[in-house]
Parts: sequence; C-alpha cells; structure tokens
Amino acid sequence: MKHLSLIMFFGFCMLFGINAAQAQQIMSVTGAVIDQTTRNPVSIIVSFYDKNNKKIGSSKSNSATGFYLVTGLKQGETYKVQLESPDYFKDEYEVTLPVSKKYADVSRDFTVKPLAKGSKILLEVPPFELKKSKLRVGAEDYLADVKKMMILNPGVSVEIQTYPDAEGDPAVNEAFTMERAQAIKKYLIDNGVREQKIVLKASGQTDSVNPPPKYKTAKGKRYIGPIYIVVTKV
Amino acid sequence: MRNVFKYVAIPIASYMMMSFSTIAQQRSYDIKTIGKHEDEVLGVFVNGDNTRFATSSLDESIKIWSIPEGKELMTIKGHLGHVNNISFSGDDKQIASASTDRTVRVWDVATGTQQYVLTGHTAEVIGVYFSPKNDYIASTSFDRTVKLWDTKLRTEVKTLRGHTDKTNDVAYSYDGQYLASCSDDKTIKIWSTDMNSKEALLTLTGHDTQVLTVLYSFDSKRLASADEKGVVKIWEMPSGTLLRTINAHNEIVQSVSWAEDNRTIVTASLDKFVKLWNSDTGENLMSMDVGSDIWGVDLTSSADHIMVGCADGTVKMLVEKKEAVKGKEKSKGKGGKK
Repeated sequence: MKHLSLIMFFGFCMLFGINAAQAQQIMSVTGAVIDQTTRNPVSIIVSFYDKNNKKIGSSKSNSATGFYLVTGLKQGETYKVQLESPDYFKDEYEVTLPVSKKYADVSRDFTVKPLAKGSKILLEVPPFELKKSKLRVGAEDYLADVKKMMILNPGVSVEIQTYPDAEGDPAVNEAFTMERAQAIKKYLIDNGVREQKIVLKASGQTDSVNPPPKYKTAKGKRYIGPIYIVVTKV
Repeated sequence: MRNVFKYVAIPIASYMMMSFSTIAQQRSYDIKTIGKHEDEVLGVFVNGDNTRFATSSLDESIKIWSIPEGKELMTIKGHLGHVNNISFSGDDKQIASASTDRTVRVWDVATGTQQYVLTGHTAEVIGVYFSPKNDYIASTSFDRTVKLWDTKLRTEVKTLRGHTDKTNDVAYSYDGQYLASCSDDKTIKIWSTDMNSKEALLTLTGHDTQVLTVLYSFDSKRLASADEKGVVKIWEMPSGTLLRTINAHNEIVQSVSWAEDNRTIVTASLDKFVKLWNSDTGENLMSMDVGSDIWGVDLTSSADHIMVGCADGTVKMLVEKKEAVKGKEKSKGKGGKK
C-alpha cells in the first residue's frame, strides 16, 4: 500500500511536471493592427501558420483598438502571420518567438494598406536622400513592403507619384522626380513585379497636401519630397 | 536720512547681492570643435563614468569620443538610415541606437560590432533608452508607441499605447520605477515599469506644442521636458506637479540633460545656443552661441564638460574655464547614470 502511494505520488509529480513544462512552452502574441495610411485601428483576421503551413491560431482584431491575441504558440518557433480582410491588401509577416519562462506573451504590431481604387499610400521612410534621385543604401528594406504588397495581390495596379523636395523650376523638378519614380519602378520590376502594373506620375510642383515646411522641423522630420503609391486597379 | 536709506543704501545693497549671486552662479566655458560627422549630428550621450561620449548622425553612423581629450575613438556603421538617438547601457559596455530604418540596434562599445537588431516598430524610431539595470530597452517611434525590448531575449515584449500622435523621446527614471515619453500630441506620459501595467500612470499637460524630449534627474525626483517653441518645463516626480516653466530658447529644443546635483540642466536648440540653467530658480547660468543649429547636448556629472552635436556636422566640446572650477569639489562621477 505504501509503495502504491509512492508510485501515485511520483506519478502525480511527473504528470504535473510535464504539464507545467508544456504550459511554459505555450506563448501568446498580442498587439494591434493599424491602417498604414490613417494610423487608425483595423478589424482584420490575424492567422498564425507554422513551418508546415498549418494554421495554429487565429484572431479577429478589435475594430476600436486594433487589438488581437493569438495563443497556443510554441516558444522558439517561427510563424508566418497572414492578415486578411476584403478591405485591405492581403499581407504577411514572420514572427519568431523567444524561449523564456518569464513571459506568457510577447508584443507585435502590424500595419495594413487599404485595398480600394484611389488609395494613396505614403512611403513613410523616403527611399532617397535629400536632393538625390538614386535609391539610398537600405532603400530595398523600405521598398520590400511595396514589393510584397504587389506580389501578394497580383490583380492590383499602381501609380507611383513623386514630388520634389523644394520649389523650383517645374521642368527641372519634374525631370528630377521622374528619375526618382523610375528608380522605384526599376526596383519593383527587378524584384518580380510586372511592368504593366506600374505607371509613373512625376510632379514638377511641390505636394499641396504635404508641402515643404516654412519653419525648421524637429528630429526625424526632415522634409523629402513625398512619394505615394496610388492604387489604380484592385 | 530715511530717503538716503531708501534711495541709495537699498539699491546699492540689492545691486551687490545680485552681483554676488551672478558671480557665484554663472559658469564660463571655452569651446572647441573636436571633430565632424559627414552630416548633421542628431544625438549626444555621455557614458556613466564620464570617460566617453557617443554621437549619432544623419550620416547613418555613430562615433565614440574620449573625455576630456575629445579624441575620436571609433566610427560605427550598420544602420540603413539616419541615427536619431543613442543611449549607453548602465555598465557602459553597450550602446543602443534608434534609426529612421525602423530598427533599434545594440552595439558593443569596445569593438564597435553590432550585437543585435530589434525590429517591430512600424515607423521611424526616434528615442531610445536603456533601463538602469540593462534588462530592457525602451524606444519611441513615429508609430505613436513606446516599445519595451528584453535585452536578454532580444525581443519586443511590451507596447505602451496612449499617445495620439508621433512619440518623440523616452527616458527611464534612475530608480527604474518609471518611464516618461513625450509626443507630438503635446503631452508627456508617465508609465510604470511593472510589466503587468498597461495604462499610463499620468499624463502631463502644459506644453502648448509638440514635446520633443524628456529626461529624469539622477534622484528621479524631477523631470525636464522641452518643446518645439523652445520652452523647457521642470516637473516634480512622481506627482507630476509642474514646478517651473523656462522660456529657454527661440527655436526647437531637441535635447536637455541634468547634472549630478539634480538642479543644473543644460539645454540646446536650433537657435544655435547652448545654455545652463538652475532648475530651482530658472536662473540662466551660462549662454553660448556655438554658431550652428544644435540637435544634441549632454554633459559630465559636474557640468565641467558639455558636448554638443551640431547641424553642420561638427561635434563641439565646452570645457569649463579653470579659474571657474578652482576650489570646486571634484565630481564623484555619474555612478550608473543612464
């Protein structure tokens, strides 16, 4: 009887231990999904897929807060995250979870772009330096997002709109902004986007919606002529 | 006789007292240019033991300099965008940097090698700050969030939401209990560093324009903030009571820093001036035109060296004149500052 009690006790401990270890391996990812153009929260389906492309978890983000939570994920694993809604471009991200007993969840935000004809998506980080029309080092990193959007949504066509950094001779400015537009187009074509999906619109006049500032601007706000990706066909 | 006293003695006595006060409190410095970045210098940060300082620039690099020599020791490259801000770890062994490339990167100070990259912000990263124990890095971004990164796991573990516009800067209190962040929404938010806490503890209002920088004093009892109109405010912490408003500059103030006495602050502005202030009284202790717009400023514990990063790419060092420091108590060092 004594032996039976001991066996039961150790059995319980082992069982409990395994469960505790298993529990520690489970992790959640929380965050917000934001409209890239408005910075407002978005309601969208957020799905996590494992390396075998098996859907592990899914959540619909809250329309008021953009908040989502996907649980049942394993520590140390890398997941493909898919964002899907009829109103937004289909998008994908990759998330690798840490191995840790300290956290039950980790944080990750996502942005999505509105899928509607006429949507005007500002390239928030300009791929050019001031007064330069050659893609800057690292511009590929910023443009990868546009490339991904075009490849994941093959039915979409866009217009690349470029504006000059400052007022000046409209003809000179237009030639300059055309060089910038062509540099972006070349990057996209070189990276798998079909040429007929892209048209260019280079402006000789500064952007009336987002004009050059009249006063000095704070850190991180140096004005570089805006570049928009405008959706012309969905 | 009464009139003589009233019209002569009192003014003379007042003048003498004012003169004594001015002489006793004003500080004077020599300025020298010690080096140059290839583009505008955006961030300046002095390490904990006052032996090194780092600068960051639009040229996408970070440079490390020696104090007091002002010798350029190292140039670090790796970011794919402007490096907006930098922060030494508490043990001075690492630097975290915030960039337009949307990443925070952590570098080994001894070798200049990149240790890891933190990705997760969805817009430019502007502010960055190590926690006092080096276990977390806080960062702010134009994506309106404050993010906390676990330095051991090298991953994003928490996002603080509440600001309604771009967040510009972030700072830990030296006791490790609080975080302060500031934003284009004209507010400062105070957050608990308790990982279970999600909402801001306090929202400080009073600036009437975008708040660009915040920094706690060494005793964590005060917070300095500065804005786009050149106004500096001093807040009592943790209550959040506004103690003083200083109309410090005529242009954007992007950087402030505290001396170890928890009273003296340095401010620098795009109006080209670097200024020292007594935050108790609002008295201006020093004012110097450095000849170029200034983005970043920091000082040693005793304020005997002030480092400025300028829009013309130069890095300048202000060294307190020897006669001014004669007889002053030797600095104890920052002792784990930042």
